[in-house]
Amino acid sequence: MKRLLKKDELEKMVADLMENYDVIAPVLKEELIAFQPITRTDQILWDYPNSLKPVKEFFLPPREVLFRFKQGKAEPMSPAPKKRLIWGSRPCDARSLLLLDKVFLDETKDIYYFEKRENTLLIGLSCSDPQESCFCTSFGSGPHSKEGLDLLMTHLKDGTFVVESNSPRGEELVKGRGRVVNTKDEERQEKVKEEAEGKIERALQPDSFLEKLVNGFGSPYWDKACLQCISCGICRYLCPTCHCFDIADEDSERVRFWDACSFPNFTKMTSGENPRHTKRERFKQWYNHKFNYFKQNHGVFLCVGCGRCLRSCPVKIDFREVLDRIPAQTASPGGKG
Amino acid sequence: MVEELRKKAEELLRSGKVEAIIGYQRSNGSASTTPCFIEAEDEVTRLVWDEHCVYNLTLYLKEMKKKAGVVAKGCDAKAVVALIQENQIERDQVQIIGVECERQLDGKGRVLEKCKTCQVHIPGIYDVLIRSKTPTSKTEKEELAEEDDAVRELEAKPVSERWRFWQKQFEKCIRCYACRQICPLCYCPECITEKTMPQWILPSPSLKGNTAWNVVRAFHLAGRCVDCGECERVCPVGIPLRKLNKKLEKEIKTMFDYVPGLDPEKKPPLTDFRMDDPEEFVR
Amino acid sequence: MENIYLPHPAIIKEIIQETKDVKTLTLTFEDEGLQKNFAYLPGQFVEFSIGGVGEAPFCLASSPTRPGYIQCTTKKAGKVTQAIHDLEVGDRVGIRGPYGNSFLLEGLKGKNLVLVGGGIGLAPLRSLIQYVLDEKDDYGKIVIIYGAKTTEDLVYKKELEEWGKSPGVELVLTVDPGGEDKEWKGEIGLVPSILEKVNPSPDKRMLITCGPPIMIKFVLFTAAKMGYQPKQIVTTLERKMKCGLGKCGRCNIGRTYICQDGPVFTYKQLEDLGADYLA
Ligand SMILES: Cc1cc2nc3c(=O)[nH]c(=O)nc-3n(C[C@H](O)[C@H](O)[C@H](O)COP(=O)(O)OP(=O)(O)OC[C@H]3O[C@@H](n4cnc5c(N)ncnc54)[C@H](O)[C@@H]3O)c2cc1C
Ligand code: SF4
Ligand code: SF4
Ligand code: SF4
Ligand code: FES
Repeated sequence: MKRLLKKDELEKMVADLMENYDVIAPVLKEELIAFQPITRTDQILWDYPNSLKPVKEFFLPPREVLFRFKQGKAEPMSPAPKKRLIWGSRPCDARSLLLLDKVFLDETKDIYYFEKRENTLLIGLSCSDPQESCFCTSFGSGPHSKEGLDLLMTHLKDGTFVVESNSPRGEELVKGRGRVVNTKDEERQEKVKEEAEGKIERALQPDSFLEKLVNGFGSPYWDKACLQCISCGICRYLCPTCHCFDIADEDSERVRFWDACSFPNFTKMTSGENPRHTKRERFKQWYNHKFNYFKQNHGVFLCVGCGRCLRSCPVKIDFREVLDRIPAQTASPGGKG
Repeated sequence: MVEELRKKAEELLRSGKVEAIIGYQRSNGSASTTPCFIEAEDEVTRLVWDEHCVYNLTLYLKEMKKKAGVVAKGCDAKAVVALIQENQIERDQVQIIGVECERQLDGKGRVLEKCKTCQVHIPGIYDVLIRSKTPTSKTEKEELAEEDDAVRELEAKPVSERWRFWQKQFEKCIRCYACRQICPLCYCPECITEKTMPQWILPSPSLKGNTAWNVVRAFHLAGRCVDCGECERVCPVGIPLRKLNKKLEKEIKTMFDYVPGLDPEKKPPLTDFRMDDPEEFVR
Repeated sequence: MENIYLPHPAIIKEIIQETKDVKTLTLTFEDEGLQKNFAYLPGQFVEFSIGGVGEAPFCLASSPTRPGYIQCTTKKAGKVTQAIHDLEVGDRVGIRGPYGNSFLLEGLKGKNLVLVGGGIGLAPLRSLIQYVLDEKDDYGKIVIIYGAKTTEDLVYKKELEEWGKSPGVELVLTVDPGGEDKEWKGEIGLVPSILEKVNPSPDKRMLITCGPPIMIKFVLFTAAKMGYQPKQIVTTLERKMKCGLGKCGRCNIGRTYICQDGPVFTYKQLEDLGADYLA
């Protein structure tokens, strides 16, 4: 069901929701756009490119205590927080959670992730002004996609928003607010959508990447492609779909925290033996994980086209270019490791 | 300048003095640049030079397995000096293509902080120098005055306030180690963050571990940091790392009368023990 | 919902000092029900926890045919293994698992076996040896070739004697040149060359090997020379592991996660993986 709400009606809605939910919304914090629990509706950014960190941080936090040890026994942290609501997530970030679900909810379920997912409503905000670095449409998604969201808000650029529910929980939230849309509203919404999609000029062919990655695993292309990379963790940490983690004990707690396949230490064993011992191997692993291994194992590409990796890379490596330029070649004996 | 740069690069490759040139190229049609590695003479047209050449390319020298030429601004060239001092590279393995630089701009088009107080518009060490047609106009005195201001502002605050300031900054750190990875002088084969026995620095991003990490990073670079400012530029969460570096630079200057990155023959004071070293530092 | 990361409390019942830096620990779960129901197979591994220190993966060195306890053999290498070596009988640790596949037992049934181990790599093979000895009717003749740097570095010394005396078992021990002492009656030489010398025929046989990577590499090479087909050769892979559950993302070779799809593979499977490991 679609309804039309004015901005002040939406703010009223947020204020009402704050009584039952921890509301997390995009705010401006020292020049950076960050999702954060808010206490006042005037903190909310209504028009923003995208946050530095993706909303994955609320499901797979940068650091999370799993257990506390008492007399050698592990006492699980009770993971269930107050009900949460993420307000104003971009569609790409919402889609990324569906991909993370495949890792954390299929087969062996991760209770820490599960409870946060169950506990959190997702209210999306369509993008009217995608950035040059955005390419969500390459994955069958788009700046107005409702996938994975409970509600999607679309600004009609006059202070009114079309609010579309995409789940019973979402419907419940918006029920009785504003008014039902009419055909005119819908036409306007469609126009905003087309405009936004039109701004995304770059379309990638992910299926071609799969083939090129498989065949080009041993290609000398990678020797050069990796040269610029400084092996930091930025692209991996800021990517909404990257989910590699480390587990270690700090004081008497067992913590899980973000880790990155770009770090030499990631695969290095105590003996000094390191299966991915060169920058080339580590560089390649990332692209292969996203467009080869994950696709083969889970049937989807592990990328939502949010463009964070290329926006944030400190040496401006363009992820899209790296993939585009992999030479097409016939199967090489170089293996797949 | 660009034409001259390309010509010199081509000459270096042709003469066999180098097998690769590390330079700047346009990044995908945008105004910004990205590092490039050129091995063939006909590729030198990719090289560019302008105010978007922020990177300190000498970073890549340590992993270069062949004789390389590197395009270096004044601040970058100081890193080469330090790398020579610390026996990380050999002088005759590298050709320094010095470029006279006025200032560099950040992603938003603002002049980089470090450039406002730069004293090495012309590199102090080079094999080839590409001069600017519009050399910088600042006098040395003006620059020195600004330099002192930045550190003095920090020092003026009481210790407790400074501590609160840094705690707030370190809290933001996500431990991406971009500051370490971009630093031409962070070259330890095994970083202290990777050691587990003892575990000096807690690995997860918590205030405790972050503080330890940031303090150790700054201290390990004291007397060695050449203030290319790359760590601060790359920090995704905006921690003002240069403020820390500059403070230590000042302390070292006062104590040992030493400025890093100027003289390849000298040894950085904290890697060199002398009987007449001031003792306050070792307390 | 089960917490997949939760280590289950277990008590150390016995500690055997195998060598200067290797110990075997015998453990039982505090929860008796769990001890009874802890089902595993040779080749699988567990994540071993010491609260406040950390977790590390170890293969199960005991066999499910001998219920009531589990055993791990650990070599002192770093933080967690050091802490393990400081433990005493009666101390509480944590165990989660078992993880991974196993020694592909179906493929071994009815076959002759040659087990080739080096150093602490005998630990997973020991599980298999015990298993096979306990279910002897299912398997043919067994050759065990085991080597270490020096006589001091051989693990399971008492048990080695027993194995050597079991009917249908041929045991060959070796130490690296210079590693022998005055009483040494075994072979002197590197494991791959002893394998070549003993020369067990590949006929109706499976070769299972585990040890340091460099040894495995040469054993694979030697076995191929002796006429073993890639699908007759079985080995285990070591990778850095954290979760053991295919989630933390570090143990993969291509799309294969060693913690779940491994650690045991035939040489044929490794070839298909194109593991850099073989390069
Ligand atoms: C499937 C499998 C079975 C193993 N079986 C045995 C065995 O039976 N006996 C034995 O002595 N060793 C075994 N190892 C190796 C053992 O796991 C490492 O020696 C141990 O993790 C080192 O931990 P540490 O804390 O002492 O080392 P540190 O270097 O201080 O810490 C490294 C940390 O990395 C993690 N890690 C995970 N896997 C590895 C690895 N393979 N190498 C290094 N670090 C790792 C652990 O959390 C470890 O605490 C096995 C490894 C694997 C993957
Ligand atoms: S790989 Fe890059 S574009 Fe794709 S989801 Fe990750 S950060 Fe976004
Ligand atoms: S952000 Fe850039 S430099 Fe850092 S690891 Fe990613 S690609 Fe490499
Ligand atoms: S670059 Fe910034 S966020 Fe990253 S580790 Fe350094 S200080 Fe921390
Ligand atoms: S150990 Fe975590 S994915 Fe294999």
